[in-house]
Amino acid sequence: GTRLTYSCFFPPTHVQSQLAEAWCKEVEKRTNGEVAVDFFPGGTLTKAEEAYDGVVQGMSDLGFSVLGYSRGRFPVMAAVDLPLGYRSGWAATQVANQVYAHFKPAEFNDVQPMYFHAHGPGLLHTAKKEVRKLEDLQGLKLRATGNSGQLVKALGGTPVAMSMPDSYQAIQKGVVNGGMYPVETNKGWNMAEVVHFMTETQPVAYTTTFFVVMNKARWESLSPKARQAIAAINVEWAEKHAQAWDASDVVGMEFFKSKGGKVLPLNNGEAERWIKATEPLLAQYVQEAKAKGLDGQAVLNFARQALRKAQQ
Amino acid sequence: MEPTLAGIVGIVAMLALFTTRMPVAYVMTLVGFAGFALLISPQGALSMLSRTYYDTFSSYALSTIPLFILMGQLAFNSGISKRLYECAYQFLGHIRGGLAMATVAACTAFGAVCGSSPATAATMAMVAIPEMKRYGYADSLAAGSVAAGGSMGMIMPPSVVLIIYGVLTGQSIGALFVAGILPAIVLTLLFIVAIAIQCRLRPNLGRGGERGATAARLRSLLGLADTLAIFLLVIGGMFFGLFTPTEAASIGVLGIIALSLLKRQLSWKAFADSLYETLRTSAMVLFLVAGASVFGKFLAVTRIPFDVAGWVAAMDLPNVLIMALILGIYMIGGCFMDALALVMLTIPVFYPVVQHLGYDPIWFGVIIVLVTQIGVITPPVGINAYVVYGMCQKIAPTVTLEAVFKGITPFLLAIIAGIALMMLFPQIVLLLPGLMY
Amino acid sequence: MTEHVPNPGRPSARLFSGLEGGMKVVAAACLMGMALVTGLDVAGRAAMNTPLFGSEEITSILAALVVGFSLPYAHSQGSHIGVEVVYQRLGRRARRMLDFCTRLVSAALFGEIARQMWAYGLDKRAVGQVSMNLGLPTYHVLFALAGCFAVFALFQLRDALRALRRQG
Ligand code: NA
Ligand code: NA
Repeated sequence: GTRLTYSCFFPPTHVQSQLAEAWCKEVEKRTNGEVAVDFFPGGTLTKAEEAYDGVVQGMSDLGFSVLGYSRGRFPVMAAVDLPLGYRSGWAATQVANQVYAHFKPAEFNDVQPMYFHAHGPGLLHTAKKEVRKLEDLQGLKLRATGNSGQLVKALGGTPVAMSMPDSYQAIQKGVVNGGMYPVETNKGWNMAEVVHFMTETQPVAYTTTFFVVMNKARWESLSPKARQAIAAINVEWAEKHAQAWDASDVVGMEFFKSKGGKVLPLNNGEAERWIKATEPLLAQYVQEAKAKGLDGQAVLNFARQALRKAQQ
Repeated sequence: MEPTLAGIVGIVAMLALFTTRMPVAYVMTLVGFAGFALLISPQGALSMLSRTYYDTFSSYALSTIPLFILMGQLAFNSGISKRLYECAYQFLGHIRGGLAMATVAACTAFGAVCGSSPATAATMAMVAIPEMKRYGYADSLAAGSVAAGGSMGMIMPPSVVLIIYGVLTGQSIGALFVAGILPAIVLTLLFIVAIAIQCRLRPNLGRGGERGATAARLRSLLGLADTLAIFLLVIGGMFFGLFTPTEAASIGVLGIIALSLLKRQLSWKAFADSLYETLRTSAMVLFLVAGASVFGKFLAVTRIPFDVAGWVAAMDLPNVLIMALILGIYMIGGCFMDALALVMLTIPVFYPVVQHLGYDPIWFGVIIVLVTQIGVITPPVGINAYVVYGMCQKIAPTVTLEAVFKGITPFLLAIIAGIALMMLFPQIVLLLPGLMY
Repeated sequence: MTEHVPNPGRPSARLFSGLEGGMKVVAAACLMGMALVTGLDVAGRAAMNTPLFGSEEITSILAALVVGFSLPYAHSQGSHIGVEVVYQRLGRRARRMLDFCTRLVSAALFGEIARQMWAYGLDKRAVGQVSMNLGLPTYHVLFALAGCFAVFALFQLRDALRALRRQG
């Protein structure tokens, strides 16, 4: 049989990592042991930033990471991460897989994608200041990287880029005033211990798309039967990851509230103002795609339509 | 080749190659590369090699290292560290080994703001070793106290290992940090006791001098006021969260430059020397980190850490023995691997076992940090020991690697005594978090 | 480890010392750059509430250049430490052969790393990958590092040949 290696940056106790590990076991089971997978969680084989390149180069046969860490490399799929107003991880996952299936973007030609999934709405969390309207963001320093950093900037806040482990201390000690991140992070990184307010910013919620990809040569070396079995598992697992993201958000919300956290609604009429403030970001996406010879507007329209359907 | 066997052969090959005087960092890189090529693929190994070096060199977390080394260099070349130790000598010089004790305490203070062991060791080596040598301290005591004291960078919170442990196990990071404080202080005291005992047994290690007069003491303290202001800014700023360690180091560098320019204590040549010496030692430290990381990736793909953890978890032994076995594995594992990678690979297997045995998870987290820090000062991959030795090549060329390891031994015993103490009295760890959470 | 004072008259010696000295200055400039960029970031944050977005990325890039450009200098200063216990007990001939072998292996190892870094940079450029926060084209850094490692390998090669020529 074939032995594959699988690199995942999530720590082994994280539910997303456990799902990936369950995928490995399921593959072994449904290919009757023809394909076995050794799982390396916690970035011990390749770090989050290099997981994709690691699969292309054969450092691992499979890799699970974040598209946004390779900014510019995935000009089509980058549309999914935009602040389109996600309300659940399930909807975001639908959008991600549909965009990929519809456009089959050339940016993934050097690997064999297994499936995509995406976390629930990335929302605004603050330590001390209550944010209910756009003006409240002025002068707030918010932990946000890449994609969410651009969102914070578009909304008038000041993004500060730092790693997740640094964020806890930075917010605790007041170096930054909060952050833009999905609700599950309140539990996953214990952020609820240091933030006290969450604003319901779903109308401009972004997401982060995760990929699971296989080395192309390794994929092609598998028997057609094994490939068929894996393809079937992939469809099921995208759904499992999506549901897990939403379940984590529920847990994160409970933990946030148990630590005394308060959920703040946006004031009347604010949603439209926030959406308007993000429009330049979408225009910028279309522009950047165009510079690479791609029809970004078509991707954006498709993604929005898919999201509307998923959130009906 | 069977992965486990490949791992064992790899470790033996590394030890054998060490004897050729090929630099330690190169050997770890070479063996890690060869093993990875064997178990994964040659092209994968080549890519892994270049990516790991690039990752290490461009890591923001590690960028504190050159900056703190530069701060230490500037303090040295502008005479600040000399005056600092003159002052310490006025107060502690009459005690045998007093300067080594002060050095250990300074390491702990530095560790309270810096999360990295090698950065603490490198900075303190620069500041402390030439001064201890000047007062006639033995090579082994001078180097050993800095190498061991450097481990306080990880033991005294904030500590990267505690953060990762908290995330892996869902424990409160705040509670872990608070829990780490008292053990770090206890360990500092044990280090001081270790210095006192060895200096009593062998007075040559660090002779006591005359007791300083009160007036002289005050004068030396006053002369340091401006320097202390900078250190307070750097350390206080980190402590109160005004800046991250990298930022604090930059502030320290700029502050010392400004101060020495004002007081005309830093010539252009001394400034350039500080920069160049920093380049030399930063390259040395980062090569060691990169080499250990390449070797760690190889050990990960042998799956030895997973397998060993699995065996122990499945054993049917009394609780205390299982715990001792687990700690033993971290102790040995720490000799071959970076603490962070080791914790990442094994905690998921050990944590449920430890919980099942009824040990407190916060206690276990703090103990793990202590145990893995033994690894940074013991061969073969004792990064702190190599860092201190590497620093000494310029500042105290008489210091040999054997002297460093010999000097570390008493401190090693102190850490082990500390771990035993905390196994007997878990309250040392649990007292503070119990009061606060 | 520095058993040779190069004869400055020979063109190859001039090349080596020129490379080393020039790169050393670049590295030192990058080091001061790290302190200044980070200092500006903190000052901006404290004084005007306008931190330098992505200063971490700039610092990281400078840090990589600091180490890369100091490789030849660190090497000729004998900074990378090895274990001497056994080596010291060998005869001169054995030491010479051992030095020749280990330095040749090192030259090959770091030469290969240089080649891989170059290829990595070409890859990043081809797929249009930029840094996450500032969108900087980091492949330039990889090209620079590839050059640094190539020079570093060259120094190892020179030392291998020196060990071979060494008398005794
Ligand atoms: Na620390
Ligand atoms: Na060790």
